[in-house]
Amino acid sequence: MSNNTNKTNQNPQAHGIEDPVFAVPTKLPPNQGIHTIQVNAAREMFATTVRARGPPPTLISTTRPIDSKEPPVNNLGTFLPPNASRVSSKATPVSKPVHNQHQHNHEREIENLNIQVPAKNHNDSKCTNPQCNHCGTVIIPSPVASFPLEETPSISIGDWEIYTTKKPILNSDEIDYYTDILNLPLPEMIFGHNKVEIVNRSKNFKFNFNTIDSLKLVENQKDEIKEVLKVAHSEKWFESRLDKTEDVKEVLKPYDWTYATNYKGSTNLEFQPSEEIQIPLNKLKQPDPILFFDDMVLFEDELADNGISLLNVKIRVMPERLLILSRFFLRVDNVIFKIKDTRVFVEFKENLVIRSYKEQEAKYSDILVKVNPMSGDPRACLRDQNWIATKLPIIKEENEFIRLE
Amino acid sequence: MSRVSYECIERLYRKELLPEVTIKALCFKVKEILLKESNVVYINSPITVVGDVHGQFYDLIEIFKIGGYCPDTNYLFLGDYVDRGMFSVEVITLLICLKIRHPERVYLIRGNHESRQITQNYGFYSECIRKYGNAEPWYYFTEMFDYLILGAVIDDSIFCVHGGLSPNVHTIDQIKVVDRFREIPHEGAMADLVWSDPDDENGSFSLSPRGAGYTFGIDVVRKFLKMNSMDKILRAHQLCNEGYQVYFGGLVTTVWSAPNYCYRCGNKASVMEIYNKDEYYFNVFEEAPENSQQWEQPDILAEQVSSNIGFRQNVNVDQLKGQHVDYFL
Repeated sequence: MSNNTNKTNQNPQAHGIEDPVFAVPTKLPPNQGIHTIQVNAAREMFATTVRARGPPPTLISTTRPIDSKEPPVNNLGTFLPPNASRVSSKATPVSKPVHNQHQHNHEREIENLNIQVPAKNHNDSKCTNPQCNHCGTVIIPSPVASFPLEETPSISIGDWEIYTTKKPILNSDEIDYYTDILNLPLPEMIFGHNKVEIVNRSKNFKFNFNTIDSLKLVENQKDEIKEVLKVAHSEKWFESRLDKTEDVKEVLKPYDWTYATNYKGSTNLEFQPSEEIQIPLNKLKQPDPILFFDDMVLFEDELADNGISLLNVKIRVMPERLLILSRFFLRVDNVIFKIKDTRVFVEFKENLVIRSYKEQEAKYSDILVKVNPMSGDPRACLRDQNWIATKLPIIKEENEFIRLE
Repeated sequence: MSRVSYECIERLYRKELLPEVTIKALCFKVKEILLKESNVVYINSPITVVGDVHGQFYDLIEIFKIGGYCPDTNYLFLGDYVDRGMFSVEVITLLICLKIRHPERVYLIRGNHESRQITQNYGFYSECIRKYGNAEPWYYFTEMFDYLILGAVIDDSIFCVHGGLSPNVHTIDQIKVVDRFREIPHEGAMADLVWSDPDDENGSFSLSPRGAGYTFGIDVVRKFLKMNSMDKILRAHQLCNEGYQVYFGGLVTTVWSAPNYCYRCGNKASVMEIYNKDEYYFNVFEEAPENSQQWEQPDILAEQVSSNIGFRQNVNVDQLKGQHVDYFL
């Protein structure tokens, strides 16, 4: 396993330096104001990616029997990850994989599930999963953070195979190619090769989330576009234009520039709509060990600095089930918020796949008034997807399932 | 002042934060210098042109390592110094110190992110608050942004601007008479110069489907170049995987100087080294190795938050270091 990161313990900031000419800047005291909110989506996403790359210092639940005991629930209605309170204060930094902290008894619990890493049909030469030096067990996608960022980890559990792919943004030739195919100017950051895929060959079932398919659902014909959003200052902008537009001959081909896709994944089988069957949240709240975790952006566009449009997919695989969350997040500054979530849940033994889709939406001004005015930096809240998600009203919800025969 | 700025530069190369009073003084001093510059400055080769930096401090240092430090190399920066990266404060402070120290060797063009409104949304404002505990430095910096120039002409033949052309601008002289000492407006020539993008499909100007902004095509580029006796246009503003992108058979070139943009795009970056009208090349580079180390600094990790739904209470550093998976629902 490669680990090319050299650690330095020196602090590059100036805080420790004493100099009469250069007084030391005062630092924000801890626990004041909003400083636990992410600075912006990009930084958060990067930190998430970095975290996802390194194996955890302890395998979360190898010593904890899988039971149905409810984990602690915080006041926001979600539960705390079981490792959050258990990580020792001497936890190792992100990029350093620590094998000696693995406890090598996890085969005991998960052996009979036929877990293989990489997945049984994975081309070995391409698999970059990190492996435990002692037992060969692999938990989390590759810790290799070197350039170019290209990762294709996988895992299989019984007949279920899980693959993820992360690569850099498309190059200009690829962008030209897909622009023609999709008939759409592509988002600024387009991770066109990124993919989360689950396969069950014995049941002939395939399911994946990929970037290109998600963009196929973006409206690009004039008569398709139901609601034409404009940026906040559009009206003023047009007024100022009226008398001096002799050079402006054409309006660019209209398309949904917010890339609001209601993509629910690509699959080869039909799902059946259902009122009764829902994703069993109690099972997902169990502190099962996470055998495989990945988190990736499919595309992102900052809408010429009028907000953000982002499609993110993450997956966690436990011994008996998995969950994928694909979230489309849109903020048009001073106009609107939209969230479109697709969750895919698989119960391996029952060969049951449940997909739930949820749309949330609200006016920008309706959310702005909910921000604590004392926070000092209200815009920071409006960059926090998770906070927004708790504030937006649900406008559409549907559940579907397949029971593989 | 130049002695002080020398000491500041030394400190900034080590990525040290300067105190608030120093920021105030530096911004005041650089405004004095910028005030004397025309909206469009005329400069000569050899010069190295740098595109968007976006607060990626280590990558800026990488540029100096590759292209040479000031004043051994002349630099023209095309704007977008702040937002998105982790070290916008350090980047912009270093650049204005260099400008104060070598006013004839460093030129700073204004980008669309050098604006009060944009920096509140994309991280620079938050970073100032985080690093100084108050918004005063942000006020000093954004005041200073109002003085940055809008364009440059190299060797009387290459027109340099952050975004692109405007239907309200036919000649470079028209840019020179714009009142630039103000916040970037939503409309008009000044807005277009920092916002517009080239477009292959349409020869003329097109309206963006967003409801504001233009794209410009090959016909208006040819017309502009002919009217102003220029050879080509050099601009930044758009991310490209290869670090640069050539449009219209070389009439317009994008230079992008933020490798692995937002620390996750995996793209290359470049600076354009110009020796004379016909002799130039792109120096392409990848992200600085320090970028992957910065995440181990506790003060940075402490600001990251778990992406668990609603999991937003104070997260301590140790938790974050250990937390690689996410029990999302």
